[in-house]
Amino acid sequence: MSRKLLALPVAALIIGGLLSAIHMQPARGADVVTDKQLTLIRNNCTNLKVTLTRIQNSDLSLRINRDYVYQAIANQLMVPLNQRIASNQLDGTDLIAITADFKKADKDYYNAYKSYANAMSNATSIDCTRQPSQFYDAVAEARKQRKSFYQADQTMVDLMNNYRSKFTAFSKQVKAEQD
Amino acid sequence: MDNREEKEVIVHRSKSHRLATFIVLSGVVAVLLVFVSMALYVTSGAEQLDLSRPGLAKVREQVQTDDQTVESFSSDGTLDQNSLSEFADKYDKAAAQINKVKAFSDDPLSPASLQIDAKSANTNTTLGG
Repeated sequence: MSRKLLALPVAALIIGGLLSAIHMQPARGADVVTDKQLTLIRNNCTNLKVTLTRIQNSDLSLRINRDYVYQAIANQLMVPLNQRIASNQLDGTDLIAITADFKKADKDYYNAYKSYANAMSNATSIDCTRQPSQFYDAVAEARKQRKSFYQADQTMVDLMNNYRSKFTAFSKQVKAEQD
Repeated sequence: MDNREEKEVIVHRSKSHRLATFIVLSGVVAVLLVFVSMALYVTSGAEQLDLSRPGLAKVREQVQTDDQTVESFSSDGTLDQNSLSEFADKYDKAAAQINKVKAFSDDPLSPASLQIDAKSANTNTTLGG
C-alpha cells in the first residue's frame, strides 16, 4: 500500500519532467539563424533598416487611413442607423450588438498596432552590425506582431461586412412589414 | 552697523535667496515634469502613433484628411425604402474603401522577403547580389 502511495508522486514527477522537457525543446522546423545569415545581416545592416523604416511608414499611413474609415463607419453610419431604428420602435438588436463588437474590436485594433509599432521600433533601434542575432529575433517578433495586427484588422473587416449582411436582412423585414 | 541694520541686511538677503531658490526649484520641477511626460509619451506607445514626429512628412501626405470621405447618415426621421437605400449606398461606399485594399496580408518581414533567410545567405553576402 505504501509502495503504491510512493509510486504515484514519483510517476507524476517523471511525467511532469518529460512534459516540460518536450515543451522546452525547440519546435520542429523552428527558425534557427545560421552564421551565414548573421554575416548577411551584418553586411546589409543599413539596407535592412531602410527597408524596415519603409514598411513601418507605409503600415502607419495605411492604418491611420483605415482606422479613420472604421471610426466614421461606426460613428456616422452604424450609430445613427441604430438610433433611427430605436426611435422608429423597430427591432435592431443584431445591428446594435455588432456595433458594440465593432467598437470593442477597434480598441483591440489600436492596441495590436501599438504592439506591432513598438516591436518595429525595437528592431530598428538595434545595431545590426554588432548584434545581428538580436536584430533577427526582433524582426521575428515584429513579424509576429504584424500578423496579430492583421488578424485584428480582419476582425474589423468581418464585423463591418457582417453589419451589412444584417442590415440587408433588416431591410427586407422592414419592407415586408411596410408592404 | 547696529543690530537693527544687521537684521535688515539679513532679512533682505534672505528675501533675495528665497526668490533664487524659488526660481531654481521651479526649473527643477519643470525639467522633472518634462522627463515624466516624455517617459509617458514613449511608454504608452503614443510616440508610435504620433504623425507630427520629424521624418514622417511623407506619411502625413499619404494620410487622408478630407472629412467627407464617409458620408453621414442622419439619426432622425422615418425608416422607409428611400432612407434604407440611402443608408445602403453610403455604407457600401465606405465599406468599399476598406475592401478595395487587402491590407497587411502580405509578409514583408519574413526572412525570405528581407532576403536574410538561409537560402539567400548561401547565395549572397550582400542584398540583391
